[in-house]
Amino acid sequence: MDCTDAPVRLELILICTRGDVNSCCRAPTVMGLLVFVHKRPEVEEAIVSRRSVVGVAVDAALSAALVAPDAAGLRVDFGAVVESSGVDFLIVGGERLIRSRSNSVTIDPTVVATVIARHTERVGLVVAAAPRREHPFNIARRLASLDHGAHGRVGWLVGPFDYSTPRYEQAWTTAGPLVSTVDAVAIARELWGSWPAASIVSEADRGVFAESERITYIDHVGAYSVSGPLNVPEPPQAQLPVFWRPLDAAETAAARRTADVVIVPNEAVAQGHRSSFDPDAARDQVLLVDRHWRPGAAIDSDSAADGVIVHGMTVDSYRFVLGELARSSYFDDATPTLRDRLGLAWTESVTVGTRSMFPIDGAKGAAS
Amino acid sequence: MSRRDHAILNVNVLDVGVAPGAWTLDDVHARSFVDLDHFVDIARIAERGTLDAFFLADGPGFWENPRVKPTRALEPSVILGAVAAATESLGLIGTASTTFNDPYDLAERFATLDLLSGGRVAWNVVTTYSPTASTNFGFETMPDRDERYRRAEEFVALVTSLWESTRTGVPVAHHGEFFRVEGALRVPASAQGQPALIQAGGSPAGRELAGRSAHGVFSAELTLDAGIRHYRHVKDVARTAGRDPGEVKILPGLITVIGATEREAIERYDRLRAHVSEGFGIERLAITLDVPVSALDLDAPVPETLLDAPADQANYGGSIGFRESVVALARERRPSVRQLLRELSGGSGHRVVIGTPEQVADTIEEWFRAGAADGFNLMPDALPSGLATFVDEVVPILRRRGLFRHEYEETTLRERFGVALPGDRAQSA
Repeated sequence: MDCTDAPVRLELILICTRGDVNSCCRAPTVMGLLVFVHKRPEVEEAIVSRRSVVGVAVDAALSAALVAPDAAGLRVDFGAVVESSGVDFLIVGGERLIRSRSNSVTIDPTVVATVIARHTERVGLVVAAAPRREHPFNIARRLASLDHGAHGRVGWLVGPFDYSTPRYEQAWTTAGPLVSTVDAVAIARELWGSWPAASIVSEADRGVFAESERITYIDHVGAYSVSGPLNVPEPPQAQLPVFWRPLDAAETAAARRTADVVIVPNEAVAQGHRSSFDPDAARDQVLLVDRHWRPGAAIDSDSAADGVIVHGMTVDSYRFVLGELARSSYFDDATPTLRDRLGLAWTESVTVGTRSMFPIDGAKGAAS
Repeated sequence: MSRRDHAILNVNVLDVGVAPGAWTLDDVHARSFVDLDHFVDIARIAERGTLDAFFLADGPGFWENPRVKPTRALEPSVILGAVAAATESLGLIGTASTTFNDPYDLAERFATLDLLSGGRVAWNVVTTYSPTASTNFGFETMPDRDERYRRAEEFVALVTSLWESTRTGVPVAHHGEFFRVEGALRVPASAQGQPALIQAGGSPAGRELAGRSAHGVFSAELTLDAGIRHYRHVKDVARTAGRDPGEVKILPGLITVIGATEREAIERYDRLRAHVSEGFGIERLAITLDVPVSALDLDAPVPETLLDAPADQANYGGSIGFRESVVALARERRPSVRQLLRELSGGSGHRVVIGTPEQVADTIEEWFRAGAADGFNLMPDALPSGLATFVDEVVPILRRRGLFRHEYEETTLRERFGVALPGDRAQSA
């Protein structure tokens, strides 16, 4: 195969960023091809287009229906229909981060995502949370907890404001909203790596549950000061994908540099992102376009974007909408993480700190 | 409405159990403490045993070293969401701090859980005494107790108003020392109207606050005498405040280690501590007593002078309630530090009962009938096995003795604990 500058279109792409292919592939039984692309010396990762990703928005009204106390049957059915549709993820609470919406009802997105997680096994779950009212430590903890609960399927839709809450002063930082949003994402990413998964050795004969000397402070100083560590171990995905739907130019610049997934309003904007070069933009970034649901509308894969987020699904229409969006899964036997579905490179944990929270003290022996 | 002759029994779900070796048992795996299936299994066992509620302690930061045992990790609302969807009658109580949360955010999340569960949720209000938490939120030192309690009072008042707004639709207009909120909370009201409030008020100030306003008190009591004294105090405060004393339930913690014989129970207790040093818990004990670890000698009793010394209340990093109960026990029996740690099962300050199902039922009955408790916050040594044993062996005994329900008669937590909605109290008084 020749190496050219044009993007390579393939049904399935696995991007191997390390030399040892076997250690890098997360879905060994997928149908399709394992592609080896000649690495051009100046580019570490081969840039190829991804398969089309499909996410579906769960709005406040559907959220309310799903958490109603008598909705056990609905939850079971909704979960089953979502799973058989094979859509890549649901996005919960996104309308809260958009300026113009005024909802008649508000429902906590984490609770909704939790109940959907309990009725599904494969679909990704993206939860909206603005770090304005809520402290980033709490957001990081809650989302890591949900990722454990859902076995690696969770993402974070971030934005500077939650417009569904009453306005009041920022409690946790005096920094501006964009700066603090970007800082909150950095903090979460550092916290998610502060308790390395590999430290949990569970060795009964040694009497050691975790090699806790490997738990490190993050000592983050920025718009927020957060010492860490996070009292939740590293989530299954290590780094949860961060989504951002920027509402203006300033947010767009920040989102391109910060987010794993940027959501744009239409094809033209997506094309604009692809063709404009920002040296600071995140290298491994997914672009998704917002689409309003229309019956019979095809989700085309011939697009500058990597996929779509479909809006307009309701409690009365979900069977129909998800039925039309149904697609065969590329992942067959394996249970993909949300990162896998998005085609994001597999990542190792981010260890920033070296200051151990529970250093082994020889004088004390085993710490209690 | 809960019956006065029935004990209240909650299960305090501490990951895989309070015993340091609980994680070595065969029915759990290394990731059980972060596995929602584990917590849902525990909840289903509790519901099978018709226990009153599933309780989660919590804090935003490490409060113990996970070297020797797993720690509380998952954020409570994720656990409670999963448990709510998997149960029908079990109460759901989550701890959240007023120091390290936002009131609107907390109000919305708990209201959503309450809606989902059909009105079975309570918020356990804490101010959080952990210094490790405060540095996660930008405080170089922990806010002092006065400030924490002022913030807590305002926080609770605001959250209660926001919950009321879900029922009335009337927007809140709150302008206080710490918070400013204008607007209504637009979560649909739950089957019980709004969540109930619990408070772990073990200190004298906490008992005063609980007597005046809380529906439940989770305390730590090591001796029957102290238990009776504190019980009477809280009920008196409630009466003085014009409340029906039955409205505030006093629930000490109780660690259970159950065996077919007492010998087997003791062996189980020792086996589940075998891998930890005799000094396990000495750091927590030192913090509780507000003394340096070096002042404690494993082979000697705690020096009297240290027991007498009052805690520096403003900056005390421990729990005053725990301190009181530990000091009372240390004074009563003068145990060596080693014996004290063993009895405290790692410095936690909660009573441990090690014995047969009959012995466990006996102590529950003794405290209940003596007026030292309205019930207990059970802490099985291992989860799920210790809870399954309690449900299968102890609950039937309590039922035969007329001390516990045979089946649920109500589905909301307010009905179960006999707690009126805030507005209704004036009408029913």
